[in-house]
Amino acid sequence: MIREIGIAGGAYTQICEEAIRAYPEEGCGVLFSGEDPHRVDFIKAMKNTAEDKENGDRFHIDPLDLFRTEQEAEREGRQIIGFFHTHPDRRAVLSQTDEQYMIPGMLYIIVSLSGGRVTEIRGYKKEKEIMEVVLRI
Amino acid sequence: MNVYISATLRNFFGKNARLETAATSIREILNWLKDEYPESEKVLFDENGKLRSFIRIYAGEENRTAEDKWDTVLSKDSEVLLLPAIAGGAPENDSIIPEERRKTVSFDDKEIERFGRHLMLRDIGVKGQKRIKAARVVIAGAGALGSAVIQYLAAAGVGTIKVVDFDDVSLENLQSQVIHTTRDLNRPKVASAKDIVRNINRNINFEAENTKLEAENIVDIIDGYDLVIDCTDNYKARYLINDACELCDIPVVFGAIYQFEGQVGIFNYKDGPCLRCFFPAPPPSGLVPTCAEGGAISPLPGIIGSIQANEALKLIIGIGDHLAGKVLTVDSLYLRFRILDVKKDKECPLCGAHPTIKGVQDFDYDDFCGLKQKEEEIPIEGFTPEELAKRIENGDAMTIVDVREPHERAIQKFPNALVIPIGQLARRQNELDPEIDTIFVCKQGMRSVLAINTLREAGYKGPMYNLKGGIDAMKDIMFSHEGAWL
Repeated sequence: MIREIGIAGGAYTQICEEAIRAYPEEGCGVLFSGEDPHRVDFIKAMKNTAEDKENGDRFHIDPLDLFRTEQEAEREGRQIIGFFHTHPDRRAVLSQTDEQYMIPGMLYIIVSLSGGRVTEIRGYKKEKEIMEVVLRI
Repeated sequence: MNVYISATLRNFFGKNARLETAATSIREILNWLKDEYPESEKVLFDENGKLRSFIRIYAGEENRTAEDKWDTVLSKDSEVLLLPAIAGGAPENDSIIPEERRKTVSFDDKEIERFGRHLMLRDIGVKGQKRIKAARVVIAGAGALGSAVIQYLAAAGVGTIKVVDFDDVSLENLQSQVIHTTRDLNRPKVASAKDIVRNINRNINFEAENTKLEAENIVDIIDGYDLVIDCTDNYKARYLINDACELCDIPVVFGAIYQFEGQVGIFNYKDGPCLRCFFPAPPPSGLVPTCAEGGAISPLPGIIGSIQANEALKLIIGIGDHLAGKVLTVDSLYLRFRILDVKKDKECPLCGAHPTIKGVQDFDYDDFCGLKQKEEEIPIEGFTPEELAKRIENGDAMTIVDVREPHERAIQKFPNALVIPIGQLARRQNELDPEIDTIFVCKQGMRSVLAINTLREAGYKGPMYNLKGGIDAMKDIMFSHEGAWL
């Protein structure tokens, strides 16, 4: 079981940029690996299509958007390994909805922001149980 | 028909991106997938056989996830997409105060001014302050810890504060119980608590309960409140509060101090551990003195009580990280702060998998704490201070053993007493004369019982007696006596 995941510096910066851009709404995106399947090498910010996000506390990626992103990634030889989303002004811990929507085996990175600044970033995976993974940037 | 499997789900479908099937409807496709890839069943369906909330099924661009669209026959050249809905969101507010109650609260201009420094904090704001005002909190104990908790919760604007304490203010309380002053001596502690709260904010609904917490009354006292803050100083009250709160489903902010050290924790929060998971049984009575016996440095309860108040507010507002399932230990002498993890005990008689405690029982805490003399044991005999004084005056042959610590003897010596700390008793028993009576003395007559039991276990056969009430009780007698030798 992989409990440690690397994030390339460039990918990390892009995640933070997207988190700040979306603030105070939730930002979200897809995480890809390159050669090493346990490292986030690329990211793609996705459109948050949640309908009820006035409070900045819901995110949703349109499945067809994801389908197109998957096909694009396949052409470029990238592998989807997970997703990231932000928790504006909330801790980087899984909410009940987050847990409900977790796909087993995928990496979920949560970025916490406070007053528009990134304050915390954590990763989770659901295998048999949900566990936190160590992020190495 | 062609079925596309999202990259995120392929592990459950033999890593295939595209599958060919003869099935003609969504329902047939799902059944076929279940048969072909048994692994996929648990990712597609939950325990009740319902499609999982994150699965989306498209035929071309059309969303066919809803079950009433599963039976439509699809054309042979259509492509079915099996995709995940990637969704979630920041956690809902985790406050212990129900939203309906928060919404009934409003503020006037004065309150907006008074609580301005809370309102300006992003994590508290108007919503948080409304939760504080809507909160109903019981503070058990208006002593040293209670002093800090009562003042800060009143200042923070907690709407309803109930304080439970049966005691009156005594002079020695004033060293650390800062809500009581010299003017309050001999008044009930809840009366001075009320004065303090009134002086801070008259709008607070203050409820004084000048009673001792017992198995019979505790549920009535705490039921319907959001939070109990345990500021008591004894094990009986702590276990009563813990049991009642677990059964009434109320979280407890626990606090305790001793000499230079303190502890804070949160028990019974959601499915977290209770006090019994942390301390399955209290230490033998007499071994760990209360603050009345062991002492405590004056600001320590202020530190611990302030942390309790801070934890309480975070639970009320629903923010931050808190001490649920953890215990913070504070060493004020060497300034060491540590956080211990407290695991929920599956065997816990109260909150475990098979609880044996199902009501707040009139629990025999003396027995639980090992203080009660068991029938087969020889009971411990003791002298009242008057009886001992008389024996001393008569010049009866006896040995008086002072088992107190050196710093306690420095406050007040017991003349002509042999000094043996409890830890050395067994090894120094030959200093005692088994032919004559030996009387053990300590501050309050608790450790002397422990001393007698220790010597009995070590095989000492001579007659042993306890000074009932300890030197504290002796003091008044001897000083009022002519020729007092204390």
